Amino acid sequence: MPTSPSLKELRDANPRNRPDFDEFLESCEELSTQIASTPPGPGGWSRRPAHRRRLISLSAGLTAAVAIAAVVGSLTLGGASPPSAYAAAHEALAATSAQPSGTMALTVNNTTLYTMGWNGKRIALKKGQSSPLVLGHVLGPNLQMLLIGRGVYVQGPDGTWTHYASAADVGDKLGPEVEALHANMNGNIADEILSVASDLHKTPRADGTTLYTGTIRNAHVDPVMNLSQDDVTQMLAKLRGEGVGDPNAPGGQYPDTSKLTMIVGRDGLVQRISFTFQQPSCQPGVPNCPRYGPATDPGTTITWSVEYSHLGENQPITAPATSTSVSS
Amino acid sequence: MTDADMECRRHRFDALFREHVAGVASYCRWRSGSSSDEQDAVGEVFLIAWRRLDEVPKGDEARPWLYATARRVTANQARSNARRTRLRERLRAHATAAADEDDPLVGRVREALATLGTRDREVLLLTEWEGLTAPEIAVVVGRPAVAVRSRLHRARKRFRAAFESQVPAGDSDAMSRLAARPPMATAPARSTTFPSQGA
Repeated sequence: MPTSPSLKELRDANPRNRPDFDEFLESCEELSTQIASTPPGPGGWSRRPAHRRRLISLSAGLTAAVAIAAVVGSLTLGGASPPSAYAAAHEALAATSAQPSGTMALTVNNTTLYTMGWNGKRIALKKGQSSPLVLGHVLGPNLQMLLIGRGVYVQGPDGTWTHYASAADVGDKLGPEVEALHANMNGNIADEILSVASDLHKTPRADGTTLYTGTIRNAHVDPVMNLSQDDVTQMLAKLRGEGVGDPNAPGGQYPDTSKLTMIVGRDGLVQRISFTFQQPSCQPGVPNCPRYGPATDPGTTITWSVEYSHLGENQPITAPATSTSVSS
Repeated sequence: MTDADMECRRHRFDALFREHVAGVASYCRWRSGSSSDEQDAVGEVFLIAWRRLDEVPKGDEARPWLYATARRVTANQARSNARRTRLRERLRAHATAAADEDDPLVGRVREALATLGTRDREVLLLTEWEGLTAPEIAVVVGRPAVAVRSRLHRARKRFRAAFESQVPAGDSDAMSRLAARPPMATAPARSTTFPSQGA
């Protein structure tokens, strides 16, 4: 895909391309010697993450929702929706995410891939079922993962628990997941969720719940975007035959529009957020054509959902009674 | 700390410095407002890295760590320099205007960037100028990677719209002329061309 003229100009305007940049670098060169001649020791910044107001309390699921939406949709905010629909939806998301505890389940076409409970800063991630639409699992062969304090407990496929003192000890597979879960504890992504939907409409229902519907217009996913680092986007990338990084791959484009649905309960808290889209068609033999299970069938409707439950119920998340400690 | 430990430490720091000084310098340059600030910022970033070398991640993860540190350093600089900001802005505006006379397209880029919000602009430039990936930017700005991707996508769209809106009326070929300009070197994603110390 050719780079747009605007981005080309932006890249050309990189300060590194300016004639005086090399001169500036040379002036920095002596810093190395000066710095290394000073005594090492405490100084500078603490690596402790900055404390931020916790607007969204927990969110691999929400992250999933955003990731899904980011992959399948455009990022156009607005449309012709009444502003009140956005405001109300935002309020519901904010109220939900402010809950100190709860459970969320990520499902694809009614198959629950995992459930995640949180209580304060404690998180329990539990493996669900496998789906032919998704390869692999964020937990790998393991059954559960608990984040308690700085420690991580992992329940292996044989049911036994292993305790790791920190995320750094967990290993290359689970370590990033732990970091992502911790990072998601602090993020405020309600705006991001809403930003992907246009034409958001709010419909009160007879049972007292409120239905929000919106469209996510079809768009090429920017091939420059790196979608391989996040578990859900990685799943989607696989679902799409890794076509997201290849503008020529038919999997890189979804037909028409995808739909966002959100249900808010009488209590003003979100019950479910869903993204629905159709698997695109592609010609046999085309590189990067989606090819996994039902996803190979053009027109298959795929729905990813995040469902919330037990919000504010203060469910305990405790360390297992017995575990084997592993130290690095 | 033994002499051998110290030597090992210096060796690691030297390698870290050589690999990342260009990136950190570039980042500090567009984050800072003056040439004296940018050099101070680079020095401060690497001084922190030196003093906290045990905490600096190894491998590719060192880069976002350094950028995150540079982000804090430059933010602190901005706060402490608040009294001088107005004067600096005037000087910078003058300097930029002079540069724009050489290349009006740079001015157009600058104007399009100015229409973006601070966060959008930061994410866009970390990608396009510094070559950072979304997960790396997430470390730098302290946001989830998916949020960064979202913001990046939106920032690109907004930048493109702002940039294209500046094409002079009646100059319908302007965009194609821009596209036809020969490419210039862009920032490498992983490496620098900083000369070795002995060179």
